[in-house]
Amino acid sequence: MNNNQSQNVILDKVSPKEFLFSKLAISFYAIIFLFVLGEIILPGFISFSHVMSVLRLSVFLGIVALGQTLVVLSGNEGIDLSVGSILSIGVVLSAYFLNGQNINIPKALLLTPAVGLAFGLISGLVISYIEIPPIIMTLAMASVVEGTSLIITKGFPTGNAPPLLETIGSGKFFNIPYLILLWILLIVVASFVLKKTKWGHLLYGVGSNNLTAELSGVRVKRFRVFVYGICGAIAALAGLFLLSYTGTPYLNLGATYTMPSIAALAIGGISLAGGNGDYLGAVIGCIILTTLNSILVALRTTEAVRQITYGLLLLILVIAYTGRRKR
Amino acid sequence: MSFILEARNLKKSFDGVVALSDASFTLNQGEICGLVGANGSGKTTFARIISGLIKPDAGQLYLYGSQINLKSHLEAEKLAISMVHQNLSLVPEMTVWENINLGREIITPLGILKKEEALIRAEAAIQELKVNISLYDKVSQLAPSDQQLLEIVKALSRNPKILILDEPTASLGFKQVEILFEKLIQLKKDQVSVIFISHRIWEITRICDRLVAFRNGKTVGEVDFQQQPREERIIIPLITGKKENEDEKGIHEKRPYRNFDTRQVILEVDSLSKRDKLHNISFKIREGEVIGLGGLNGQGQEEILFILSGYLRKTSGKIKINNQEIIIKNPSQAIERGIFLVPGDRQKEGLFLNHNVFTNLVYPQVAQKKQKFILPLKELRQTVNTTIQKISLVPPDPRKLVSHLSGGNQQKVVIGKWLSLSPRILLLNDPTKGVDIETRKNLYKIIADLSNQGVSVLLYASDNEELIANCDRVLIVFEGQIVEEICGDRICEENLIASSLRVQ
Repeated sequence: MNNNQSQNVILDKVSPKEFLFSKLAISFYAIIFLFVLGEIILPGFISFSHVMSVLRLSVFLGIVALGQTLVVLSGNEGIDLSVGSILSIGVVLSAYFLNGQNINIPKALLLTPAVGLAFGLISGLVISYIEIPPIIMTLAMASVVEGTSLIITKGFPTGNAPPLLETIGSGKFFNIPYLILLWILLIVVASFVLKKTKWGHLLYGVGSNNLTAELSGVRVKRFRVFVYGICGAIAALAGLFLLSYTGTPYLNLGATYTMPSIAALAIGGISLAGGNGDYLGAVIGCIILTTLNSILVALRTTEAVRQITYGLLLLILVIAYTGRRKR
Repeated sequence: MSFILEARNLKKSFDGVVALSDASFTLNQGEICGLVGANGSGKTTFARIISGLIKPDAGQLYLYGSQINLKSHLEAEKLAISMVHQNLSLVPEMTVWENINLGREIITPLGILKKEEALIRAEAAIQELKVNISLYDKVSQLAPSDQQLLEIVKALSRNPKILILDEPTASLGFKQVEILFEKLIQLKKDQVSVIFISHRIWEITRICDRLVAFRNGKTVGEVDFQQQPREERIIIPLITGKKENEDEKGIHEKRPYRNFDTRQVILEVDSLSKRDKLHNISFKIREGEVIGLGGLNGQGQEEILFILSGYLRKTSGKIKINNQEIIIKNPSQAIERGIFLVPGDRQKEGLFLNHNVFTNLVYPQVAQKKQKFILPLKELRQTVNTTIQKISLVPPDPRKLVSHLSGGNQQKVVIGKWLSLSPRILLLNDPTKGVDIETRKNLYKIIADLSNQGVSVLLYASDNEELIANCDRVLIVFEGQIVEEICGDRICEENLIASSLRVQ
């Protein structure tokens, strides 16, 4: 955008002014604003331990949003409405695999994402090769997955998290919950994969113009199948971590995650048209949504008020984001 | 005498980027005035101001002798100004007749569309240009050249007094251009004034009475053909801003004859067919040879390129490389074998518009199988910098968003992204469509360099001059068949046209 004419410019470098008004920065201001607002309404809101507990609650949404980010980045109306259901079945399945035994952890770590991967791959295959719109396919898949978890559990999920996993779910390291540390690791890895690897690079290309990508030598269809697969695997894995937090499995724990996982992306400035945005944006979106939720819970608002406020905030942020683009 | 239209010192910038800095223009009644200039010289911006689509930042506009201030496109239309857009303004999902009537539907007092009258109007409009399309076809189903003609039909059906044509011929075949020119001459007799924007100088010299040249947003000169000769050498220095010298001369000069009989055959295509599109296409390309695909538009040339590049599948026939039969199922396999396609529609097929030059230029390299999972970004940046110099990108900035580049520079990126991968066979699909003369020269030089390095080139161009300037042999395609091969010195405008039309 700026007319830099130098020959060997360093990439990725952004001028300070550009940074201050970037989408990411705007979302970041929103977080600070929310925490300050929380403190005014409810003294003690920005105490370290409370901030940590809010952040810990964001982790599950954050993991789900990673899969969603990949799918949305891959473009062609990419969206995954089955992440909530896959997370739910992830909770149930991992509890079943673990059965309260530490020794079962490797098994659960392997098998739970594998089931999610399978569901994702099926969606991806149908979307890529039969060309069913993603929104329809994943909605259908959500329904299938929900039914499957009912069949598996017969309505009563069994098993529970073993002690080691419970430690991860509720334990802390120097007052920082393990889950948050885990999330930070995930953020670093995901950002690296998106920005510095072949796969990430291809993903952005496929998302912004799949015809160009294909003519440049990418097997676009196959690639997209894989992206949906990964998204499913990540959602199922999020289920395992959610179990580590709740200890015992419940049905449909994931139902409340699908829409927020998409909203978080919109707030974080990830273009729903695909090909633009990064995971950090989604992370900030997740934190905003969780913070807002916890303010509203603290205010003892009704579900109705909460949902209306949710919607309004989303609208305001999206306006702030698109308004900026027009300038 | 007074001008029908006069623009004085128009200025316009977008986001601080100056598009027009000092544009002045005059138009007489009943004349065809050419408007020329390199890509990014402000021609389109100027045309949009005249047609009320954008407002100038400064300057005055006089119409029929009085100063006006166009507030909207609708207002311009009321003043009988019509524009034919370069990026088509048709609604793809609507039918031909709906598009022609769009915005001025004939309705009953209750607001119900009078379809019969609309159809009559559309039919009459189409007949004006002898376009061979059905009123009920959706625009998205039409060939690009028919879409362009429809765009012109739509503008003409508004009975303009001033008609602005922004590169109307870029996607037309020469037969269609002829029809358009006839129509323009007829309009001129009816006292309609036409502004004709084109990169093809010979079109300007043929049809225009006068021309105005823009450079970097400024009016830099005017040529009146009643006093001055209709010659390229007068016009080109105006566009490029350089004094005429040896290497400025004749970018369309015929390349010297080269003999390839002793060279190795790189690509052999044997009775290649595609249902309803191609029939028994056979040809050979030798090492370093530049082969042209000529003929009227849409005779199957693009299909040949798409099949070779793996994007389309053939129904039958063989493709051999170095005498070995190969199967190409997708572009990835073609690329592995060194067959690269420079697609024709750069925005749809060649670029990631919302990404920067760097991302676009390295993409094919990144997509290669042998590329490491963790990208060697440092090396890639260096390759990109070399490529940027090779293609003389302006500005030479890898961080620039591709959508912010001018059309010509975008096209350089589309070609540039293959250069670092050392192609063996380069397929070019009308690479200079809507590209200015400087960029054209640049691309021709790239083609010549590659050919000297032993790369075989298959070039489809809708523009015969381009085939003459670049090719060692030209294959004329007609209705999906190769009907003639023209070699060496026989490659000239007359022969190409005669063979394309199949008149002997």
